[in-house]
Amino acid sequence: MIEMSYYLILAAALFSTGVVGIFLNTGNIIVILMSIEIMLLAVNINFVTFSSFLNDLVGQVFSIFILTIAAAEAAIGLAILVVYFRRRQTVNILQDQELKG
Amino acid sequence: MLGAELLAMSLVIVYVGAVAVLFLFVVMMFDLHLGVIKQEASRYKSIGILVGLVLVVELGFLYMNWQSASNTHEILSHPITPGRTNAHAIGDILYTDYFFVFQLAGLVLLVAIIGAIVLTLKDQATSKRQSISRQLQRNPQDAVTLVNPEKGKGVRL
Repeated sequence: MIEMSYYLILAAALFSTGVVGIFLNTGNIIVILMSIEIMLLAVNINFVTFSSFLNDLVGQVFSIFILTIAAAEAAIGLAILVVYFRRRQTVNILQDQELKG
Repeated sequence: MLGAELLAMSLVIVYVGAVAVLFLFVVMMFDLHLGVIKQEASRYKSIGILVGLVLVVELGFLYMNWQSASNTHEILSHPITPGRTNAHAIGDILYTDYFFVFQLAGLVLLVAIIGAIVLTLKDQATSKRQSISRQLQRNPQDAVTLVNPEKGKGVRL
């Protein structure tokens, strides 16, 4: 049996990776979306870990719902990205913005 | 292991089969110039690493010091019963106690499907569709002509 702390450390490392990924990139929406997916995955790991070690099944059910939301979010995000790319010919959201104010 | 087989398999299927392929298609579709992006990355490097370190340290403190409540084993709402497989156990509560949330998740996916289609749909020039305002602007004088054709001859409008 692997100790609980290992799972938690893995989840923390994944979540931090996601946050750093959002901060470090320079406006590439694809990278931001991937970072959000990584953060959701880390939260999933936390939920499943606590569900398993506290012997309660609700965490896993909640994790399934998180998975659903993550999939929907990826689909919508990439659809928005496609529209944005068609209009601007780039996926960079920081250079020469149209919305200045 | 954690004993969450259903979730493990669905995570693999959803992420590898759907999300990764979706990202791959989008990345392939765009001809991205990653060199420009890497040049600008150094500007935010210090603050990004700082935020990451703060987060790691915070989570580390949290994980070192947390403890569960003393009555955790009494307040479990759906305890894992030994002898029932993981998929069975999740199905037992997912389709009963969490049925409405389950339906809501389906609704979210439906909205996501429709939203993605609506956002990315290009208007085809060849597609014929109903224009209600043009329909309502027509009147019988413009649209209908009565002719009385002679026998054996065509009609010229």
